Amino acid sequence: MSGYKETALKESCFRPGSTLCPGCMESVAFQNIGRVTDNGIKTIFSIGTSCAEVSTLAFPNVVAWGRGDVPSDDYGKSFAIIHNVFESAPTLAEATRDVADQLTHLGALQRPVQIISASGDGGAFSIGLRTLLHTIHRRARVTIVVLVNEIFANTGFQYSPATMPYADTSTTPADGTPGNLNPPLDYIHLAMAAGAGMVAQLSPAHGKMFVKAIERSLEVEGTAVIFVPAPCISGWKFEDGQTVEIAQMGARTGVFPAFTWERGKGGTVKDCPLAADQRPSIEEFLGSQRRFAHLVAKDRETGRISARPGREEDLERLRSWVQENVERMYRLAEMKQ
Amino acid sequence: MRVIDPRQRLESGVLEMRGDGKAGGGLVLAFQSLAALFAARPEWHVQEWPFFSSARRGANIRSFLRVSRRPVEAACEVTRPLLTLLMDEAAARSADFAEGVPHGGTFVINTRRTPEECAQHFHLSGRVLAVPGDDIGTQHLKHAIGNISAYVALTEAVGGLEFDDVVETFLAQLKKRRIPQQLLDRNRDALHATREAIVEGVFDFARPGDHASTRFEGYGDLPLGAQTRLRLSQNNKTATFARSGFRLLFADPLNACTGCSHCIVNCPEGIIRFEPDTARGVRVTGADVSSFCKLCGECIAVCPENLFSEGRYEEVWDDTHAEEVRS
Repeated sequence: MSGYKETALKESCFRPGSTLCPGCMESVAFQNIGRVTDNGIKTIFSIGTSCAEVSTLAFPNVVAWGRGDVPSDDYGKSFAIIHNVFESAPTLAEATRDVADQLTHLGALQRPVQIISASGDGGAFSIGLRTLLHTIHRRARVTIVVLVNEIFANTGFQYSPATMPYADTSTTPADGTPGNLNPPLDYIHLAMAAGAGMVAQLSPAHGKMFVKAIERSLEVEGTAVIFVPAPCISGWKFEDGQTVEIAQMGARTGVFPAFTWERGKGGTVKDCPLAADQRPSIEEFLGSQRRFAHLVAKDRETGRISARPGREEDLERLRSWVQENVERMYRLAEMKQ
Repeated sequence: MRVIDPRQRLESGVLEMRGDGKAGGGLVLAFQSLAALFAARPEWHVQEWPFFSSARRGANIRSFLRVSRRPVEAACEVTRPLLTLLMDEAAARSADFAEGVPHGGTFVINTRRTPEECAQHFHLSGRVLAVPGDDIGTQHLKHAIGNISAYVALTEAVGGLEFDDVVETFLAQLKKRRIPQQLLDRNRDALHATREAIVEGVFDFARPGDHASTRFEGYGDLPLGAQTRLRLSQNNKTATFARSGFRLLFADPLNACTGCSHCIVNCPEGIIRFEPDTARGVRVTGADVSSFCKLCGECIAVCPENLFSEGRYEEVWDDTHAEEVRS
């Protein structure tokens, strides 16, 4: 297992030239997944339709992918991408694994392959929940990466099952109403309950842990599922250059704590204490995003972020949701099976 | 050269307009407001639509508008507009905003430069209106957004429209988008401030063959997989997504880089340059900003030594590059 710096020096198969928004966390995630998979084993990606797909695989200029000028028969450096519709990334990865296993069995495939499926949270949790859970349930030896930006960013920022309570999206507009009222899907528990071998919730803002989790996910028995919280600069509406900061803040305040879990070993919650008073207050996370502008406001003079008049109750409800979320994470971490 | 009056064209046939800008700059709002302004009157038929690719912030986008007394039957993009708008100077790096405009057409440009400078630089023949929209936006809205000024300048270019209608239509469009009242008032100030700031002149700098519109010879001529060449440039040089007029700078005169690798790991484009270093493991030497840096600012934010910064840089006014764009 290599360290953070060694990984930074590796050659990513995700190249510049994608048309993702400036500062998109998905491209940071892909950069690092691309670096970790530069380990001498051929990688096969199956990518479902999402921002990450339409912005990087724009025919005929697929310049966003490639790994240097290596010859096509350089097996260790080579990788393949299969694109399929929204919900099909996990099942396609499973099918690819089955074919690879059969080819190995027949002696046609001499060297192993590693298979990574990537989809967005809309694709994985709305239309694709069925395929996601079945792939996990069938214990396919694949890594499933779900880029959770809590929004259908590709189609115009509609609500997704992972959207935070009270968030303003185009289908839950905070226009006289408090925004999204559905509590998000407990996807981590779902993945664990379905039988995943490894589950993690990590963003590249926790660089070292993210890199380690991806490395581990490629070795683990059974299905590894990695949920990557991906702050969406256009959907969450924050300023340039804040992506990493917001991802860190979201993990520290308990909105999406850094979490890793392995079947049989249990898990850990990092960088996010159980007691609410030991964590930064959620206002700090909410204040920098305009999707919560109806809920909190920043005082111009003191710089303090607090609830807007009449929104105090909503904010308290959100605070207790965050506390429940953190407590649930700690409970999940204690589970061994 | 004779200047063709847009108002006259409006009375006699179809007035076609086109706007070039960058996604997130408010071009769509400006054109929608203009369409609403005409559509409010029963005698006009209006057709308006924006065109953009899967790219979001910062990518080139185009807006089209047709106004006529008769029903508009054409259903294709505007290739020979009489009136054209350049909403973002940097958008001219990827697309020729004056393409297909006849001699004597009207050009509206959101710029700090004078109309003459623009006409000379972009080789324009006709009536040129320049308006420092980004400055007006910064002054009134604390945000360098030029759509308000571009919209007012377009209505001035057409002429014969009631200024009160012009203002109210724009504000109505903003209201539809759930903009708070306080911001609406500041927009109103910006709309009024624009009127005095428009500078115009008539110039003749186009050489034969400049801005010639390409002939449409069937879909076989289009680049593979692209609806128009606007969809993406052939090389995906996403540096054009960067905020106009700025670029990333790197300076490490004291050799302060600690080799923490945060910038390398957190760069969405993977364009940080580095070299191996025995003591630190790695030493960052800069960033390749020429082609792909979108100026997202992550490296500026994560560097513990503050070695990255952004600085003013107006590539669009660099003549050598302009030649390349026009050809």
